[in-house]
Amino acid sequence: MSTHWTKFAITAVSTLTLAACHMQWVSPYSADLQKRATDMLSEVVTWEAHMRSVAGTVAADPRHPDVQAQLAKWQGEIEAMSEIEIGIDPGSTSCDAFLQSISKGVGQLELTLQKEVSILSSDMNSYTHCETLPSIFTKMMVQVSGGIKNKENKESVGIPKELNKGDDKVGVPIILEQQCKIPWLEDDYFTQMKEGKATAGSPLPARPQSNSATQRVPSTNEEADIKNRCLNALTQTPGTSHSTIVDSLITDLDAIIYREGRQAPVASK
Amino acid sequence: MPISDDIYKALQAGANAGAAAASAAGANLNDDVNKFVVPHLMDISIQVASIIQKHKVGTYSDITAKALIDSEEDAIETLVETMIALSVLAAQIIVNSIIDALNAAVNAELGFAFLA
Repeated sequence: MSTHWTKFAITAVSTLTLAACHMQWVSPYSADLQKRATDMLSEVVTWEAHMRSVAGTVAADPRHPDVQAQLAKWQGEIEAMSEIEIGIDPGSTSCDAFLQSISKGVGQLELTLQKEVSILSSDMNSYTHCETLPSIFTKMMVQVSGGIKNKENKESVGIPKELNKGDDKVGVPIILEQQCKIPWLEDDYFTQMKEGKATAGSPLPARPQSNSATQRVPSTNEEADIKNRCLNALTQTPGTSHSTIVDSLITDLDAIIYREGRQAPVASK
Repeated sequence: MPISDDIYKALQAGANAGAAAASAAGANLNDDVNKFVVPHLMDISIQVASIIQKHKVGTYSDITAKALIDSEEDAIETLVETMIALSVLAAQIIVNSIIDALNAAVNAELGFAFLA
């Protein structure tokens, strides 16, 4: 008897929770999120064109303060978009985790649960889906900060580790490091540049200047090679509208804009 | 660009296999697939073909090529997750199906197991 009531209680609680998940099936439309994604898309395309124009120079080196500042700015924008999404749909990730846990852990009860849900609401046949937009922000953050694709994150929402692919370093900073870093310039050169910007107008430099920037003169071939390598990463791929280095980031932004557009009220489309 | 055609066919085969499984489970993905996924898959095919060609001629190092292909795989994941009416687990199975097809196409083009 008590087992029967326990099952009933679990079923009732689970059904109500699923109903709540269903209510959050697709997160609400956010004009702010859509505008931020559109603005960032415009910035990425503009930045790509600028970087192409300065490819092979100090200005395209990943250590340059302006390059680092732009990537840091995007990190802030992604963080802000992520917060907006969590703010308008706070249950999204826990909803997915819950659905995965009940489908694995309760076994037979799930069948009962489906029956109960179908009795409660005939349009709940898609209840096994929850909003997955937050993972886009994680991927975008990796793209602008450089990092390792993390297999562990997805286990929290019930996806077995063996189903996750990839553990290599990815992202714009990694590609710039490989393709656009000027080998004859020491890090110190860029540190001085940063300090110069930070102390512009100051009567005294922050520290004595060194001559590391002029320690080695590159050959013409070296200069041509770095320009060619950097330009290749930043040149628009024929048949597409942008270069490979920003393709993933642009797809993510397109996805946010598309999803928000799909959810927008008819009058605002 | 013949390489991109081969890769696109591989990606589309992976996407179709996944979408068929989702369709059997009652999810209708046609609208999202036609409006959003297919155009972007074509774009990814061209980008991956470009990465392979640049890697072959030595413009891209192994690290660059792998990082860029990994990023394209992330883009595939985003495309699949954008489709409405998919559970997270179904989405991951579709993603893996497409990425396996992509890896096979890239390895076949290069003639060795560049991607695991």
